[in-house]
Amino acid sequence: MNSFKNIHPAVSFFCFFFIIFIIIFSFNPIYLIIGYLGAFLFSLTILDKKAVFKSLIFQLIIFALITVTNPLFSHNGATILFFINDNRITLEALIYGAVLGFTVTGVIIWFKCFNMVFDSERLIYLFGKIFPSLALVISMTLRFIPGFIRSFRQINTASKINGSYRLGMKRFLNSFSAVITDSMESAIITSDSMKARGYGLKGRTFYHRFKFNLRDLVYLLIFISAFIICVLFKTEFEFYPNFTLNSINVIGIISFAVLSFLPFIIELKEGVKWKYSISKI
Amino acid sequence: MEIFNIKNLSFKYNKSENYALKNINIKINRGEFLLLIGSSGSGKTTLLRMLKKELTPLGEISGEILFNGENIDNLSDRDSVSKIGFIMQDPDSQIVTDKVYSELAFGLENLGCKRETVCSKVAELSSCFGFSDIIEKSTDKLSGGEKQLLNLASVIAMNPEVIILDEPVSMLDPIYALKLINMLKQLNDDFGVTVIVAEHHLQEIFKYADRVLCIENGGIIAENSPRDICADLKDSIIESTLPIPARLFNRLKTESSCTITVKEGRELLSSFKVSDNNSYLELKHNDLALSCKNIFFRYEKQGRDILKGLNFNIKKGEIYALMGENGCGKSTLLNVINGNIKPYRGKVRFNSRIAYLPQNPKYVFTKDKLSDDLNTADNKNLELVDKLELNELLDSHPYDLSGGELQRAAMCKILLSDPDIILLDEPTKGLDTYAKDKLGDILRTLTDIGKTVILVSHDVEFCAEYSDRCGLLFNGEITSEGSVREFFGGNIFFTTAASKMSKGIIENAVTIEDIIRCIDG
Repeated sequence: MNSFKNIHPAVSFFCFFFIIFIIIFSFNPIYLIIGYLGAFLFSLTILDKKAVFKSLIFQLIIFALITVTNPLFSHNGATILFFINDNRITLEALIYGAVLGFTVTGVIIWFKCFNMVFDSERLIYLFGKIFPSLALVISMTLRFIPGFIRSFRQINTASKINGSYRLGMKRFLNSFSAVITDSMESAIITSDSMKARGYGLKGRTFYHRFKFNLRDLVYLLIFISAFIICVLFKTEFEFYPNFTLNSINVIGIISFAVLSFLPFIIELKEGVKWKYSISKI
Repeated sequence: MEIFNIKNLSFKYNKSENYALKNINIKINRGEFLLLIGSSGSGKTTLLRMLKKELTPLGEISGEILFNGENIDNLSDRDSVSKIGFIMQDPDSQIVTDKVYSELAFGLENLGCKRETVCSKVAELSSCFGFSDIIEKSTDKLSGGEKQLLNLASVIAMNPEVIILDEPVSMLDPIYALKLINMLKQLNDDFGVTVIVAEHHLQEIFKYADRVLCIENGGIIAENSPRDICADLKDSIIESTLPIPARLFNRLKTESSCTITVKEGRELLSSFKVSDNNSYLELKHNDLALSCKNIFFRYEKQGRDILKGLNFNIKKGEIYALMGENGCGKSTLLNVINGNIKPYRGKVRFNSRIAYLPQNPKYVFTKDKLSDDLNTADNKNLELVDKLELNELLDSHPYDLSGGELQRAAMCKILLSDPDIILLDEPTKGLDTYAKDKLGDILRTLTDIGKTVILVSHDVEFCAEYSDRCGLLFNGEITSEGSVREFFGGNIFFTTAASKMSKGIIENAVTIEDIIRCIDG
């Protein structure tokens, strides 16, 4: 089940865009925590748990690396923790690094969710609306790659078994050049097939299977207004020389929470509804 | 009213000396089902491509082609695209986009149809073709048969008046071949679409044709109804492509009209007196060449077993044909034998060299010239090249060879390492009857010198003609196995046309020769 996926791609794209935009440019620990939590819960509902925890380990490594690296190069800040080779390591630089690391992990996890929701059909739709020919190119590329890999494997297997080349590298190169020839051959047939079906006629339209309905409009309005409120009512921090909270803005924080938890809530709501309707059957 | 009127058409390819088409005159009627037959390289494809101006090859053209009374060159691009549909042989390369629904929509998008129109057309087509289950799938995940049906559907989407098909079923397994042919018949019957189809595999399609045209060397040598053309083609090189009942008819001395279906063939046979003259010389092979014991294999950890507890023994010097429906694991078994994949349980035992010919024989070539691939420098390997009649092709690019030539060249290539066991994956796919017979003869000469052949095939007629033993792979095991006559004679549904015709009349006859031998007089 993937009910967030059922939202019109333009709307869900804006949702992802706003969230990732704010995560990158706010540079704000409160926002980061909220944004990360939203993505984490959302990813638990749309990905399987194994994949989520696998990605979590990767994110922890990235986070730790950035957190440790920043104070090694940035020596600003008032609170000195210790010295390494006469360079001071400061608490502020450490916090700055942690925030930077958390930003990167937040972006990673949101992109993972984006990937799950935006399959090729949705991507092609988004690009197709703006550049129709690019959409076809993406679609053709996605068609081409698996076939290319399969042909390569078959050619490589055939020459391995029939013992044409003892050396792996030489075989690899020969198979590669053969698969290029093979794909050029089939590209001729593909282009004939495109010509025969009228590619190149004037006024090509773009077919997609998405409908924009009232629900999409409501979500779009929520996303846009939440984003605008976030931008207007900022919560600001200063890292150097001392880590200080300049202003805290509850309205902004709440609206960002709405933005980043909505995907999870939509998913959860549909799940509960589904269970409820099953119990009635 | 004719939909196509071809007048004095001649055509010569730019680089060629000879005319590919010579003075062709045909009138094709609206709503007709026209079948084009002829050996490879006879000019069928060239003629079909002349009928669709986007695909017309470069060369010297004389004569004219009228479409609905108007010269085809004056036809507007839009009309030419939508009114004349064209489907090629290779199911895979014709597909343009990555998803089934977008492929169905491709032509309509090009024609500039509105989204609503495309939506309803896609829905209509997928219910008509039974695509509801695959509509969301990647085109890459479809079987060859599904791909070709998709190609047909996406051409039909544009509502053509005529569809032209160039050997549409030669790459398909029998079940999908039948599906596609029945679809063509339905389109022709119910919707009045004119069908022009060139094909080698005539068993199923022949009876549906209103008219059959036979082309040889660029000229029409015969033109008649399916029933009457069989007599016209008696003793020509095309005769071997005709459906089995028609070939049987040509061999028998009878006054009745030609039989083109199995049913008619059976009726014809029952009017003859038969003797029980079918003692066959069956070669006994004793030495074990290869054995598989209790093989288990699956592709994914959580997936289902493709092979489960498979046992399999091959004797030295025999041709073993492994049959079974699509996706039953035939190719997987070949890959287990050749060591490309490892079974998770069980053992494959043999102590000799193995050669393997993949389904697409192109894949054994990696060089730009056949002579480089066959390593004929310093007059090496010439004996083999000679035996496979490849002398004149040595300077060509492997990809420029015809299906039969390519198959022979690939055989030559895999024989270079002097293997003892030869594995062939669907060797007859896309070949015409002439090339098949040639391949069969090559296999026979190989086993005569003590080599062992294991082949995987859907082609019952070929297996009945040339193999020594057959096995049926089903549900991961070999469920029935025996000599050709035990196997096909024992099967009721999965058997050759000759066996179907002679069931209950002659015991264990699986080829035409078997039947002829038993008929008195």
